[in-house]
Amino acid sequence: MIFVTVGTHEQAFNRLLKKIDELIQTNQISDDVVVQHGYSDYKMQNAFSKSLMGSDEFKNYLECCDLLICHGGASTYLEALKNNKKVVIVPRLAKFDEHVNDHQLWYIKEVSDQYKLNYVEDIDDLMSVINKVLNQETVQFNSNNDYFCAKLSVLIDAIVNGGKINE
Amino acid sequence: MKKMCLVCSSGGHLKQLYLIDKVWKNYDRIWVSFDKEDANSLLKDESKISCYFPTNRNVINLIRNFYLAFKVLKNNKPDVVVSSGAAIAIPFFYLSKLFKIKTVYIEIIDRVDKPTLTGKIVYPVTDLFVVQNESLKKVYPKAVNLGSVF
Repeated sequence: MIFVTVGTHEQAFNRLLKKIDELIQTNQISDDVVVQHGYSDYKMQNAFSKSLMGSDEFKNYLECCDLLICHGGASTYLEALKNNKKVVIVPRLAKFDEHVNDHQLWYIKEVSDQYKLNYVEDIDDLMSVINKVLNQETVQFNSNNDYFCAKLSVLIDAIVNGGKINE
Repeated sequence: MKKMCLVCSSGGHLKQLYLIDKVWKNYDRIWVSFDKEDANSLLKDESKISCYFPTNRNVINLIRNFYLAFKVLKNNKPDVVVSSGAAIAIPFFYLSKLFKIKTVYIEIIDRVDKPTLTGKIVYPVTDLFVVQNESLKKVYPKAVNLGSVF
């Protein structure tokens, strides 16, 4: 199953949805596809699609999918990579009115080597990137969350109890 | 137990604030976020107040959220307000400054060397400003870099 998610940002992302529909229509994608279409107004013709999902439902599709295709929301793809999923990222672009600026693409380019990200700028490249990702192994994700929480905890305790911050 | 008010948009901002659960589980807490499915389901076991949205460059909802923030802070009297953005943080942080409530802002992960608009606006009134990327310290000199929250 392929899970496609465009996040909850309040702008449409029809460009990705139309391409997914086309790839299913032309049998280039033959897997089952589930779509979370957010605030997009394009109606999927060839896949089950839902606007927004509760966290349990989203987590379920993420866990069950063989491939995640997602917008460039870092929380989405980093969580997926942390859970050892295969991911293709399609960043939202301002020139198509998909976001307020191109920060999704800027960030992906910055951390692409670090996290071994697979992403698509020209939507016509989507199928070739899907095939590439399906044929490669996932990469180990090194979590920084324990360190982050431990340090943050000490810093917040300090300011709440009237102390000063020392890094 | 000290009290924490957690303030965020739904979506990725909420996901990143939720990821510091090892921190907020040690506080009495109240959440302020959107009335959207992902926020309502993720926070179903938490105390949650819904704020006005969309907040993205939306002045009317900013004003409405100022009234909401005033009521929330007055009624709950938190010791600290923690936010990952986005714009909902603005009224909470400026009113917290007025009420002498401590504030913690965590800049969202996907900024390399350019700040968010919210981050720029709340930086002057934030007690602890956290970034997830060393490059952002050029923009926010007093920030603490803790690396990725993931």
